Amino acid sequence: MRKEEDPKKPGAIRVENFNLYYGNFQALKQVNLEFQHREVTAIIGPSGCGKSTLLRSINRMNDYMDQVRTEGQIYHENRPVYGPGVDLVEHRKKVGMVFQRPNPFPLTVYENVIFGCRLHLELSRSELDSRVEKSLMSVGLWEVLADHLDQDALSLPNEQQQRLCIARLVAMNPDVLLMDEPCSALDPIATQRIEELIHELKKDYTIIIVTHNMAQAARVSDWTAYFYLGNLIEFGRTEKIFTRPEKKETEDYITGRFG
Amino acid sequence: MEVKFSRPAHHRWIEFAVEKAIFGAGIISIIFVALIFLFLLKEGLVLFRHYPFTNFFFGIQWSPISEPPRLGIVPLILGSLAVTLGAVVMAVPLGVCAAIYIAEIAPGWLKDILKGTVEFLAAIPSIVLGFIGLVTLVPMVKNIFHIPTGLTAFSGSIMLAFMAMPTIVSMMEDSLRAVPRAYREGALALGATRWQTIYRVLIPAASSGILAAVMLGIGRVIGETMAVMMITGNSARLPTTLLEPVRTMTATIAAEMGEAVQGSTHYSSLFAIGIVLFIITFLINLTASAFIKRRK
Ligand SMILES: Nc1ncnc2c1ncn2[C@@H]1O[C@H](COP(=O)(O)OP(=O)(O)O)[C@@H](O)[C@H]1O
Ligand SMILES: [Mg+2]
Repeated sequence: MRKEEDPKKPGAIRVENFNLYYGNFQALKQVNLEFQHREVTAIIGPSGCGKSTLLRSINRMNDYMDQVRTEGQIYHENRPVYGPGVDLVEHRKKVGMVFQRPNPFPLTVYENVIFGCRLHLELSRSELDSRVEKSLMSVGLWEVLADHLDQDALSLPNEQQQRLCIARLVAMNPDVLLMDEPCSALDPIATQRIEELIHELKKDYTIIIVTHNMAQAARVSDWTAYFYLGNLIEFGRTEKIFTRPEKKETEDYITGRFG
Repeated sequence: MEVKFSRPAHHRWIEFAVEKAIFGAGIISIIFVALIFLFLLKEGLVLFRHYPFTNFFFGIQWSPISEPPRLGIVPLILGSLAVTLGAVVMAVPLGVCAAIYIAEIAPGWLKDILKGTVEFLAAIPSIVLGFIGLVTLVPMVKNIFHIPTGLTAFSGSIMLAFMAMPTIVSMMEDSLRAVPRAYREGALALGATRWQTIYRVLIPAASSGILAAVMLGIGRVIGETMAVMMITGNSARLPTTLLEPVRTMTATIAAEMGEAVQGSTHYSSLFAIGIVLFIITFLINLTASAFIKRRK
């Protein structure tokens, strides 16, 4: 049902005429793009084309770099993300980010999961407990870790660490998950399992995933955006992009003729 | 063709020599420390042949030239303790704040200036700081508190806090900066503010380095001699408040070693103080290195 969306309904995230400069270098050029609710959009393109920059722009992780300047606007559920009066904390609660390398905090599994809740919510111990259980369930870690909640998160294997990083977002009930090459530090089996997890998560979340692995993009995504040198070259349904791309550049990249 | 992979013979010889030289230097420095400690023991333990052990450790009066001499170390330990605690109470919170500011908040250019300044402070000889303290800090303390003399434990604490600060700040700053950037980003991306990121992630992650810095700062403060001697008034009485003159263990040794007759009870009592000081400093450094190790 969900998938037969109303064509007029705006996307979860809308990028409008967006430019980003690192000093004098323009990393994103006049990007227009809309991400649909509860679908997975893959951002692909050769290294350095601005994939991470776009993803970081969506939850404003670029704010902490010197000399970053932006133009245009990004909307989350029709609310602007840039500009005065934007509540960044509120925004980031709703739009969470998973990084290239798993980065759990040097705390216990339990404390990692509820890190965000502790920041933003006043919850009782039992409410926290149930969030931990629910979040770990939804990333498939509950069975493994239910009895190890006070284990140091850094002692977990990579794949579990990455799942934990997703769990700590899920615990805050976000609606968008941004993932920047979430499998690049994982082995093929772990990668496959995270891809299955993404498939599960899309029932509840809008997911934007950056990947340099085209097979992965084809496997996990409903939509694909191809970037080159800061320009959005082509955007469309994944099966279309991978079978009948409109642009020659897209076809060259996808067929591996360059990149 | 194994030869192809090995380095030329003289390289290996040099490497061997350097390795042995470094090893030798290490051994020699250990031997020196051991010899110093043995010497201290030899000269200091003699005291207890003529003077009761308990009177030394629990005596509350230090007057070596009275007849008979009273050699109670308690006022000196309390003197050191008062000055040190005072210094730590001032230096640690300030040092933590300064380190956090430099590591996390200051913009790039200011960071460099501040780091340079801290290192410069560390290079000022303590006697110079003591002299500056004597002519500025001491009169100030006297006037502010309306007390007969500004030569007090409190003045000494302030000055020692100054001396310990560079050590504390630069070590803490290093350990804060060593916290992986990924932790910061992770916290910020979860909607943490800068402050929440600092106190919920960075400080816990850097905690062992921070504690090590504090311990080394304390070590520096306890061992300090000349500047303290100039500023704390050098009166070996039991302190009741920080606004009284005190005398530390180090200052006692430095002040009295010249006048003590070699081989006398007084003379060996100064060495006994040295033993106590050595053990305290050793324990502090041991704790510090335990913290540093835990970080690895
Ligand atoms: N902090 C930065 N300062 C300056 N240039 C940057 C910075 N981060 C990224 N860039 C540049 O912006 C471009 C896009 O980078 P990025 O978004 O990381 O690419 P991708 O994730 O697609 O590999 C690259 O040319 C990169 O060199
Ligand atoms: Mg990238």
